[in-house]
Formats: sequence, C-alpha cells, structure tokens
Amino acid sequence: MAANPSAKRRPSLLERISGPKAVPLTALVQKGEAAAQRVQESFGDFLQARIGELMEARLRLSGAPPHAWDKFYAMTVDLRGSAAMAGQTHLDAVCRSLEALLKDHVRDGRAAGVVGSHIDALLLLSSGRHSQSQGENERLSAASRLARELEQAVARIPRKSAS
Amino acid sequence: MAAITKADFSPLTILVIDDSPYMLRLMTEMLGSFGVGKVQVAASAEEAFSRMQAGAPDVIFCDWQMHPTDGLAILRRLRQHHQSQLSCVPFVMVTGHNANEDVTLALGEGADSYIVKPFSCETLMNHLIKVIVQDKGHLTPNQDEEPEQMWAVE
Repeated sequence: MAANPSAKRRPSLLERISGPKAVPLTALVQKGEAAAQRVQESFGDFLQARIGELMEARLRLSGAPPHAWDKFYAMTVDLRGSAAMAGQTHLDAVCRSLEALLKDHVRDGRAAGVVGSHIDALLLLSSGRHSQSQGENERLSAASRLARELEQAVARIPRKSAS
Repeated sequence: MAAITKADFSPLTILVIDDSPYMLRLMTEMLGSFGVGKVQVAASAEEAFSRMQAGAPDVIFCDWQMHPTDGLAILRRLRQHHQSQLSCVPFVMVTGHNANEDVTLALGEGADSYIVKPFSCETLMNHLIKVIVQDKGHLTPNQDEEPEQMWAVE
C-alpha cells in the first residue's frame, strides 16, 4: 500500500520505547507481579460490592426483559474474570456455572431460582464461613461439591432452542 | 528481528477499558509498574471515546464483555474511521472466553492481539511488546492533528 504523501512521519512505538533509559523486561515483570499481589489483597472488597449488585439485580430477574438478563450475564462474566485473575478458583467455578445457565438455558422463573442458588454459593464462599470450623482441604472439597451441585441444577433447566 | 529485552515505556500512554473496577485497578498497577508514562482508564465505551477525543492513546487494552456496549463494538467503531489516527491504534482484546471462534472474530475485526483471563504479568508484557513491534502507525497522520468526531451516545 502506498503511503499517504501528506502524512508526517512520527516515531514508531518501538523507537519510542528504545531510549537510553530502557531497563530489562524481566525486572519490569517482577515489579508488575509485586503490584498485582498488592491489588489482589483488595479483591475481597470488590467481591462484596459485586455480590451486592448481583443480589439486587437477581430480585428483578424473574419476568425481566432480555436486556436485564444480558446485563446480569455481563456482571457474571466480569466477576468470573476478576476472580480468575485473583486466583479464586472456586468463585471462578461457581461463576462459570452461572454463566452457562445465563448463556445457554431458558431464562424463566425456574432459572431465576437457580440463579439465586448461585448467588447464595458466592455469598457462602466469599464469607469464608467454612473456614471457621473446617480445615482448608475440607473447605476446598465442600466448595468443589457445591460447584458440581450447581452445575447439576443448571443441567435441569431446559436449554434454549437452537434457532 | 532480535527479541526485545529492554524497554522504557515512559513515553507511552495506554488506555484500559473495563467495566470492572478491580480489573481497572489491577491493569493500572501492573502497567504503572512497567513504567508506562500515563495509564488512562475508562469504565464504559462512552467514557473511552470521550477520553480519546482529547488525544489518541498509543495502545488500548479493552475488555470484551461489557454492557451495554461491548469491546467488539468499540473495536469496530475504531476501525471504521479510516481517516482517524484512532483507526490504527494497537488494540488488545481482553476476555474470559478462549473459544477459537471468539479469537478469530476479534482478530478479524482488527484486534492486534487477544489475552484470555486469567493472565500473568509476563503474558501482559509479552502482548504489549508484540503490539509495539507490530505497530505501523508511524506512517499515519500526525499525532498533533485533531481527532475527528467519532462517537455519539445513541
């Protein structure tokens, strides 16, 4: 493709990052990892806020128009991604199950009830209620069972017809 | 081309678009730690285009799953404006979906790279370097020109 003769040349991004102050990428990645670790410590605050929003939105789901379900779906996907980034694998699993329900299954009153079960599970996992009386292995095992049970509940909701 | 092993990101402005406050903070902190000169954030498409009216960023990281306007719609809107410097800003799609058809769709619409959550700092760095090396924006209209009107809230 011929270059536009009226275009002025500006330095490429590669030229711009190649200055005399350039430092090894490995050192920058290490700094980034330390920063990410600091941010992950604040994940609990974000989680509480997001679950609160989901709880409010859930109350309006039954009989709600498609855009309300779409917004709820977007919030779920967002929470899953954030949970995954924070290394919260069990939250990630519950969100995946909820995401599958919202994406692939009929959105009716029964589905809204199963949505509620997922919210309850998120609340339970976020509160760390298990950890007060159980060991870590037991807690993780219970969380895995919970995620499987939710998946089974989702499987009982009819799928959307392929059209 | 020799592999890039050193960089000074201080001259760059990077825009992060995500409706998750957690992800915005995480990305801001990681990119800031890389030494990026200016990290701008936007929690919606409207906010993103409002920021871009004031000046084009050097790189965009954009979440796909947002409501009501998603990352793919933002990408399409950017790439449609052939006369604007924004049409060629390196664009990295960030998403929780890794299906082949999603990757193909985003790249087909003009994304320069595609990151699936969860990702590490090293992955973020690799994608940043990748789009910088691929950048062909140095033959596009000068940065000093006013960006054209691109966005109207419908």
